[in-house]
Amino acid sequence: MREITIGQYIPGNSIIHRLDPRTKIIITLVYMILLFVLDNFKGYLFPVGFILLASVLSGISLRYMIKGLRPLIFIIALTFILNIFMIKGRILYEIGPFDITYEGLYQGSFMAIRLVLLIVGTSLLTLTTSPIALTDGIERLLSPAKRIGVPAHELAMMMTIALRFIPTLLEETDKIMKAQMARGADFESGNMIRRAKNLVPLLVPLFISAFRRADDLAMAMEARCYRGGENRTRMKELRMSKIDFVTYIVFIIIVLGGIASRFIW
Amino acid sequence: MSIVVKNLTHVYMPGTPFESVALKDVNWEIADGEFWGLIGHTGSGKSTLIQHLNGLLKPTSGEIIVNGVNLHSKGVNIKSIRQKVGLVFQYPEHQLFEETVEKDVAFGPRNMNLPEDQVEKRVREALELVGLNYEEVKDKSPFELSGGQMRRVAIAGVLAMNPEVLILDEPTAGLDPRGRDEILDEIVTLRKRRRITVILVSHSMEDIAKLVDKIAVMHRGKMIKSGTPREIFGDYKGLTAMGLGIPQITELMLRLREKGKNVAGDILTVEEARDEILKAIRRKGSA
Repeated sequence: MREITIGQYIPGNSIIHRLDPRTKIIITLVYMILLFVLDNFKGYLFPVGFILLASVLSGISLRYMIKGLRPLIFIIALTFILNIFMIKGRILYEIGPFDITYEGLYQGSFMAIRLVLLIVGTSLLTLTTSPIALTDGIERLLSPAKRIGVPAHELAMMMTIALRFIPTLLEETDKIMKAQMARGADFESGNMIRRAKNLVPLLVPLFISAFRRADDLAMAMEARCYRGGENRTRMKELRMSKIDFVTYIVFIIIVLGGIASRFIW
Repeated sequence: MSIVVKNLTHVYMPGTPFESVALKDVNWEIADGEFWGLIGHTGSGKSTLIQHLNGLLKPTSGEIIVNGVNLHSKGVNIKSIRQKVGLVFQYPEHQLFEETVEKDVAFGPRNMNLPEDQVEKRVREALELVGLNYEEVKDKSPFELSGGQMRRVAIAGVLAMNPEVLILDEPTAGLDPRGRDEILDEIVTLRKRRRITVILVSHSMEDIAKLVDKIAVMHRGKMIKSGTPREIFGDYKGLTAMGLGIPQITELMLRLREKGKNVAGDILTVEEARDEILKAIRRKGSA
């Protein structure tokens, strides 16, 4: 349960940690688009280099980030296998009615790498940005849309609260699971239906406590006169600094390099 | 039932930036039928320690031996250990989930695959042990009960498995004085009736002093000392330095001593204090 690293923040004071959250959000978005624009292995040298650079600068070990892939290994493997068998082309090997083709192998490993880069890149954002900074950044990025009626502040607040309660709920899950295991509950064996049924003693208390927490939180917010984003000032104003501009320049070079690779190779 | 903890060390999330050592080389021997109190400030490792005693957590290193059986050697049926070592978590009412009180208390026995008539007998016994009327509450939803009653139903849920060791993690937290006294009284009766081993985790030095035979003190993941309440509460300075205290009445008597009154310093309960003060007054009168 505690093994989930996606979405977890690791406090630090590296250059990457100190970047303006808006910078990190924008770069992550463009990075994701870039991954889908690039269409060959050589082009991926650019994002791979970018991730390596960023992870070295952030002081977060690559091993830790790769650990975060573990829960998604199934999806990556499935993508890989489906691609291998579904794409027609030069046949390398036959297993019964299925053919492994050269093109399939190429496409399969390409897709797998794309997914890995996608996950590692986005988790780098959450690993180095505190949830508060992240939602602050989103709020600011969305604020131009306020004029057309997008409730930017409320959306950001909802996200902050949701993120803030993930660890709490995980802890709660862990506790209830243990309490039921102490009464002989079994969450690990049996077939699918049996297992789903066995989750009831976990889910009912979890829902009850989530509602109780939500209720308490709403009360506490009201007690402090919270009433949305109108006229609220903030303690920490976001401000772009020199490192942000340098980062943008480095990133633009990488994006241009990547796009150029489409035409050159 | 005896439990021996040998050189137990537990590290949470090893190999990650969140690595933290919760227990360091803990040694503890619990003999059959003893009543232990476990004290220590928040985060001292009490909860981690008790979760090892029924195999919910696996030691990073060290051993837990229950009745001569090492919990983590091959072929040990951990489910049967969990049935013998009952663990009541903090705020146990948060684990209630069934539609009726009866079904909830029966959850443990049913997981043990007991025949239905046995299950019913155990539920009835367990509910009565915690001072609830079986006929009255069995068909109620656990969520329409009062806080104190919910907690008792949850404790009954563990008792229904007939554990030989009962571990309670702050069973009285958040209860009013009357609810607290009732729960503690029930623990005492239970111990007398079933002759089980009990481990009570508590922040209330009064409760600990009143009830237990022996105390173990946890501090920063280590078991600093263990001994009888008189031995432990004799060290006022050591305990306060650890963020703990001594029972108020013990403190009162120590202060009286400091003022030069001729009373004993190792008083644990109000009754003892009364007798001691009366004795001192009589001594003075006859002198």
